[in-house]
Amino acid sequence: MGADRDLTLLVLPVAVAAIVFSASVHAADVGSGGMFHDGLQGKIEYCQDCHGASARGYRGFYPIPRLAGQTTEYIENQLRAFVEGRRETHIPIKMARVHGVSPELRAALAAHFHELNPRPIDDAPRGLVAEGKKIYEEGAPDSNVPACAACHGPEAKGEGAIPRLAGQLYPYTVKELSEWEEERGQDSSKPDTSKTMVTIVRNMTKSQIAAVAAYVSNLR
Amino acid sequence: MGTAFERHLNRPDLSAVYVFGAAGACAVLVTGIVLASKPASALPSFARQTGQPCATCHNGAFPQLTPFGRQFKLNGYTAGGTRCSDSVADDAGETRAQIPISGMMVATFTHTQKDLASVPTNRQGGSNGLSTNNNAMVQDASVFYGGQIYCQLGAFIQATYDQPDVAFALDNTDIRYANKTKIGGADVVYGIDANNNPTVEDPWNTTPAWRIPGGGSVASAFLPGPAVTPQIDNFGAAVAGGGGYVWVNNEFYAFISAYTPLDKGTLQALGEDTAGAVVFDGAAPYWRLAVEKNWDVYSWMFGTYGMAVNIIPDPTTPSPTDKFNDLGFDTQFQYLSGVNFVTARASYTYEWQKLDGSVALGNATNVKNFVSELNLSATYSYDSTYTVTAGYFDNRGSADLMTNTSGEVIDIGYLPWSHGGPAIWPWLNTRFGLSFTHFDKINGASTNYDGAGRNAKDDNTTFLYAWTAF
Amino acid sequence: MGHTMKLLASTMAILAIAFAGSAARAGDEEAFTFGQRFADRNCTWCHGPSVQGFTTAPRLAGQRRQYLENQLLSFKNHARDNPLSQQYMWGAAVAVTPETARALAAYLSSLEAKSANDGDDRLAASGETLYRQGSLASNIPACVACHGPNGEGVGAIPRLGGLSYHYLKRKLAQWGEGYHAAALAPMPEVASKLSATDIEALASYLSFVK
Repeated sequence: MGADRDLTLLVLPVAVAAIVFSASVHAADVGSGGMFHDGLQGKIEYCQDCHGASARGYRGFYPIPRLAGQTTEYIENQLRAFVEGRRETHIPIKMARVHGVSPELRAALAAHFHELNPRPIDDAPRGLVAEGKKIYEEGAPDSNVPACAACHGPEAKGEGAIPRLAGQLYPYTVKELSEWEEERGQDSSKPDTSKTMVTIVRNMTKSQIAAVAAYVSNLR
Repeated sequence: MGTAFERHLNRPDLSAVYVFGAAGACAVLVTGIVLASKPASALPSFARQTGQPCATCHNGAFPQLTPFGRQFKLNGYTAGGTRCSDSVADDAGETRAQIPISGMMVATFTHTQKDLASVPTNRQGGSNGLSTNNNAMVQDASVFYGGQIYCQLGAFIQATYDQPDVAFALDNTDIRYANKTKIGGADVVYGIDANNNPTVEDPWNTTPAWRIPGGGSVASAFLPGPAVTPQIDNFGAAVAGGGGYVWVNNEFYAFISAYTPLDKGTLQALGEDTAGAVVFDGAAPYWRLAVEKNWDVYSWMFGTYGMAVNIIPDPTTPSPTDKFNDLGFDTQFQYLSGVNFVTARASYTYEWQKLDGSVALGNATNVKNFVSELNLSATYSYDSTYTVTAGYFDNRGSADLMTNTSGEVIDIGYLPWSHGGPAIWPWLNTRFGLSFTHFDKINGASTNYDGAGRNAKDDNTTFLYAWTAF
Repeated sequence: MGHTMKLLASTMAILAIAFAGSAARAGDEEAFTFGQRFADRNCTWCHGPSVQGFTTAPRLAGQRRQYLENQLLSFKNHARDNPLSQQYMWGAAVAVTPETARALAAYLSSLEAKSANDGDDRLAASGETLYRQGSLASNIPACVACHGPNGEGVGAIPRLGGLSYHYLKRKLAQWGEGYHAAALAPMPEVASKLSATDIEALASYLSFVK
């Protein structure tokens, strides 16, 4: 743990190979037949069971976010944040448990999901898109809301630690922007990149949040 | 009383045949071709009405009822019916409003270990071409109205032509109105019922009308029975009765009714044998309680039933009445999973007789007698196609009744068209069967039971039958 | 437009909207009572007088509307091919049109549901853990993510809370046996990963959920 990025990149191919070819460890009686795979492939299927086919996201009882096309750094950061308690949710799922994949797998999973590009679920109210585009590209200067595009990119593809928003589920984006402080940066002794968003979302009104979320939800 | 060929007076032979599920329904539902055309009008009687194949209610071993079959009966035979002012017409406005008529025919061959003592005659005492052994004949042919009459009113009405009686008569009849309501959170199905045979309204196969083996199965017309049976067995088609029932939370059943006998004129009009006419003093109450536990693929019922009847032994001569009190206990267990269907049954009926009238008239020697009837059986059926039933019966009575009769029955059946009839006739369903009845004793003795040298084993019967529903 | 004309036009508009609204409501009511009558005549004899389930026929009362509709149509097109579905529901669904399915679903989903409470209560605790957290080691996702904290479901995702242990057990096992492969993803794949013990625990727990 704590290996710097260069070392991780070096170790990555070896780790992946090791995982894929290693004997898998099962709980006492796991699986009743049917197809399931060990190692990385098994974990990918596991993630996609909730995060949707090709990780496009899924509207279950809770909106489960799209991972497809997400930046690798952001995915890895969030996986670590869940395990280290820096990110919580109000959803009654022990996120640390369900996201607690081994460190070796984090990078492999992130790399895999980054490459996927399914069509967005595109589930937002159409009427809000125009206003959302305006806020996304120009911000809302009267409310001290900067243009999202300045950091998230003109096509909302994100970069590095800044996440891709394009194609994200509308209800998920709304929820995150509305509950940011309650969920992110929960370990004040370990401040992280989520701090950047705190002042921004404080300045956004509910309708601005909804508009921006609607706009990004159908971006490809 | 007491001849070897005595059959229960007026008891319908094949009261148990449900043709509702003539199995071609199965073919209709399984083959896509027929589905694409007019499925509704291709299904006979109950199967047509519900859209279900026979196996849903009978699981191939008809006329046994599965838990769903019992539900259909207790809900008034109206499930799936559209003949109602609030009609729920189905696909493309086509209503399943056809009149639910079905038919059945039983062709038989009987071989007894020893030739019968005399040639069988018809009801008038004349010959009908039968001989003293190896008789082949159409033993029964019935037509049924089975299904919804209107809205919540439904019926099972059977009329049968049978040999060797050579008579066409009204057979088992059960007409009921049923509905459901909630009382204090409990689901209550309730109904009023009119019928002509105590226990014909019962949904289990343990009481006299539908017992297997017994009223609920096919047996040779030449099979001897005990001289005396509890009165609850004896009134088929000779009485009319009405009552009501509740079925609470699919678990608790209570039925109560009362019967009066039909007079000779009515019996004649209905085609019945007037020799079986009786006269009651007052109406005869009948009651039935049962508890059924259903869980997953298991069903277990235990219950009790009874009847009290006072008979005027000779209407032309004043005398006290003969009093009969019947009390019975029964249980039935079913396992129904995929292709395997197992049913185990037990019933015991005990009758107290107080024959003040018959004794006064010199027709009986003891005032107090008892009669009892024990029936144990089990059926296994595989894939609604192959079925075997084994049964044991033990009928007893006071010594001077000379009625002790016991033995074993084994029956194997083959239903090749449970999953669809032949191409030319998809809704045909036939049970080809072979049964063997072995008597330990008849009417009190295993040897020379009739005083003319006939032994019980002489009546061991091998019986082949083809029981077709359409 | 003159003042009077404007008033007339807006009055007409309001009346039209009001009538359209009430006609839609009346249409909904009509569909609702048709659904009730259809269910009473065709469904309750197997699924129970108040549709709480009976033997192998599951509870339909209080089930998610979209899920009920989808299942009725998948019986019709034979996508749902579990053995008991074939035996009982394929025949029953012949008479069900899309409109009937909609009406039935509307009615049945509105009914109050009773819990079956027929699971093994010794397994309920481990079933609940599996339901809420899944199993990372076995790659089993937490059911709660889609089926909700009380097994209530949403949209086309069914309500599981209170269904019979026997029914849930059978259905989960049958996906592992290859039946109903066309069910809404990811259920066929997820259920295939469950062990027999997992299934018994989940089915037990859910049967007790209100």
